Amino acid sequence: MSNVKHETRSVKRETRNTQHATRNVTGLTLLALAILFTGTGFVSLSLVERGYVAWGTLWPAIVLGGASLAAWAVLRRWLPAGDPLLLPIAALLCGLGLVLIARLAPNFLGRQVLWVVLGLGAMLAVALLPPAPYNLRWLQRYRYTWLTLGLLLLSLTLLFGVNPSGYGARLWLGLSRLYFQPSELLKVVMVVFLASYLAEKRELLAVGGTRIGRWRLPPLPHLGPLLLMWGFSVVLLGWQRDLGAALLFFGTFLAMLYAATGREVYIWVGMGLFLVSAIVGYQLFDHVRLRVDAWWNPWPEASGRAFQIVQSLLAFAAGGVLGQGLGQGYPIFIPVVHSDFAFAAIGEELGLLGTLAVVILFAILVYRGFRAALAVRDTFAALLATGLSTMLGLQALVIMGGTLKIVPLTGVTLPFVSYGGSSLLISFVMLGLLLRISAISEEAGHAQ
Amino acid sequence: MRSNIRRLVAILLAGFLLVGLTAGYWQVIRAPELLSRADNPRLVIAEQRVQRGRILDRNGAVLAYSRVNDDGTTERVYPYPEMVHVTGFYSLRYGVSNIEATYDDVLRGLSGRPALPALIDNLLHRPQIGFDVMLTIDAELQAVADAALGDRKGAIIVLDPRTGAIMALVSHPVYDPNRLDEIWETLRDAPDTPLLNRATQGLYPPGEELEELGAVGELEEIGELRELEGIGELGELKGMVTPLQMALVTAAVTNGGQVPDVHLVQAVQDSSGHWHEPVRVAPRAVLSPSTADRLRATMILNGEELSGMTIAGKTGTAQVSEEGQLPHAWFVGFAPAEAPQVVIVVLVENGGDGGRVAAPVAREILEHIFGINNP
Repeated sequence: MSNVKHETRSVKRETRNTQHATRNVTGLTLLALAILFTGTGFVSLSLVERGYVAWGTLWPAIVLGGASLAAWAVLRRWLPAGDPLLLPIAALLCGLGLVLIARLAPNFLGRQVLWVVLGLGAMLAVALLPPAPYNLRWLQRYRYTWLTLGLLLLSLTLLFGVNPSGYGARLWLGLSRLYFQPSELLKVVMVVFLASYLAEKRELLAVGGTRIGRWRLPPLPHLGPLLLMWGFSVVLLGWQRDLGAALLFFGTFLAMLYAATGREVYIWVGMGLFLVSAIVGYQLFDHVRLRVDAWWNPWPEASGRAFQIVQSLLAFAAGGVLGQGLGQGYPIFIPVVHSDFAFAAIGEELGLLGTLAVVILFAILVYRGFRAALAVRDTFAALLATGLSTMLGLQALVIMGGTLKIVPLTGVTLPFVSYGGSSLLISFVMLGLLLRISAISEEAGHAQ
Repeated sequence: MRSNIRRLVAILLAGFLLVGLTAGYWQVIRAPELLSRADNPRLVIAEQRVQRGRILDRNGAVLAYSRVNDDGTTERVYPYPEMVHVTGFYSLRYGVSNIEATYDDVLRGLSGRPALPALIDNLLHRPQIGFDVMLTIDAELQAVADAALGDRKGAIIVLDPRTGAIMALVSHPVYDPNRLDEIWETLRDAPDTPLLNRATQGLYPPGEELEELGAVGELEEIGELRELEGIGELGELKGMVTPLQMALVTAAVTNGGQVPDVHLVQAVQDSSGHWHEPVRVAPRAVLSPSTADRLRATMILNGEELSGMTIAGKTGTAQVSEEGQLPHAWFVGFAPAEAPQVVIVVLVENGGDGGRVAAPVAREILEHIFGINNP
């Protein structure tokens, strides 16, 4: 009897291993395509700019290829159950970003390549450490430590914040010539904290509370974090002029709260609060008013306050369906195109086909993240995956929507694509966590 | 919890769908309108890269061409700057005029090119190459007429009354279209109005001697030079005519009252290098044959002998209203008198007596045309 059981188990394990092997080969194929795409991009840039293929200019593609293949090999060895699509998608987006930076802001290319490599390292670290059994207790247990560290870093920017470009929002902490944006780190920390908090308190938040008309308000003491988050977003909005981050934090927070409790009232109340703070912000702060006005009707001020968004739309229009070709359009007319307007540059040079490809890549990435959330049995892990996927998805939506005049422009980066070290590093950390969660669910699913 | 998460997935995916649809909206549906906006910097860049076709005279002399710089931008060059009133100018800042304007589509290669190759060229960012335009102008004759008028303000028109082809069209003063961007402000405010094409747009009283001819030119819609601008505004001032109108009436006089289709462009080239003559309008009657014959006879009577050839013509001296200014000097004529090949009109603004000032200019030009050497 026990022999039969043992055999069944070993057969199961074998099937599982075969499945993992197949999936990993698929992952490798996709990764190879992503690297090929990046290489082709650099070749075509070289052809456009010099008229011949200068092999020396292809090094970023080679570094990206080498580093991501190494990461794939490490994951195959130590995390074979992880989602095989995540790494190729991130590599493709990074490769596209490197091509764009080489074309639009070549000075930053070296630094971005370095950040990609560091990011892949960070991804492996959070995906693999500590080693099996895969769980995330270390994250869940010390939530207040993480939160305190994150907030501490952020408050340091309030005191010592700088902006590497010398003007604009001072969101960075500088250490000699390296700059890091604590609000980026805080994105992960906040999701971890909320996932941990909600995993514990969700029962309490989901039931009971004071009744007002049709709705029941949740028990007031447990509303603390909601108000804390709201206050926090307002601080970000007002003091740091970081509209984008405020929007992301709050949106992700509401999504996680809803995922944990299923109570729509949180969403409505939260959106109401956000609306109120948005209106107040519009009245109080020039920079908020400017962005909202430029979004609502940019045309009368096309050469003035709405210059950026109008130039962005012109770039999209210039791309048409097929695009002008890499290096052959003029997205350079948009100020700071390499970070905030990377999507518009894609629109002009790669056309509607390029923009749709990027949108679909992000949709798949987010979908795969949620898939891990749905598959995993551990509540904390599920909420964490939900939060991370929402955060990544919202960030992509907010900046793509901003350059397309769907929402007001906010200075967030297009994950993996835009220039920006902290953002890239943190995106990879989030990817690493998603990889790990997907592996947990995969393992658990097969153990049943 | 799973159903909540599924709902979140749906919301986010709907967001991506919205972004995709909006991208399509701006990149396809609204693109043509956006791209034609004047503040689209791509328009200037695209314009700088168009290799406009050349403007040639009837013998193939190059009157205007585009030089390609190392960076792919082009520059318009006018080897005969004094012919600006024929060629017109091409400027990124101030637009186009005359032939550069009316044949813009041909010169920039928009017309006369099949749609598919044009699309492929555009897709591959090949430079847009325009087609050549050949004029009826004879650059050599034009230079002679130009020199004959000298520094004086005025206009000269030489045309073939049988076809309506203009062989020379002079208007003084001229300006240099190669330097337009530097001199535009000065030109616009200059008291002697160099931007005005006196041959086609300048309105002058015909004077007593030419009153009958002038009246026809003024009253009748006697054909128009579609290739140059501003024609539609003529005839607003009572009793005033342009030198071109005088030339056309004279052409009608030699043709039994029929005015030919006056034109400046002999042929345009297409993408395969073939030349096409623009569509011509049939001659129209503006005078009764008897009136034409009477006027013709008068002009022959007033004419003079030039090395065995009779030049028919009439001079005019038109008084001007301004105090202390000399009258305008006219000469209107054709040659040879018995079988006219050339109609010539000379106007010297505030030149004085027509016979003494305008007629010698005409004589010099006709001597050149008919190969008569000065004694």
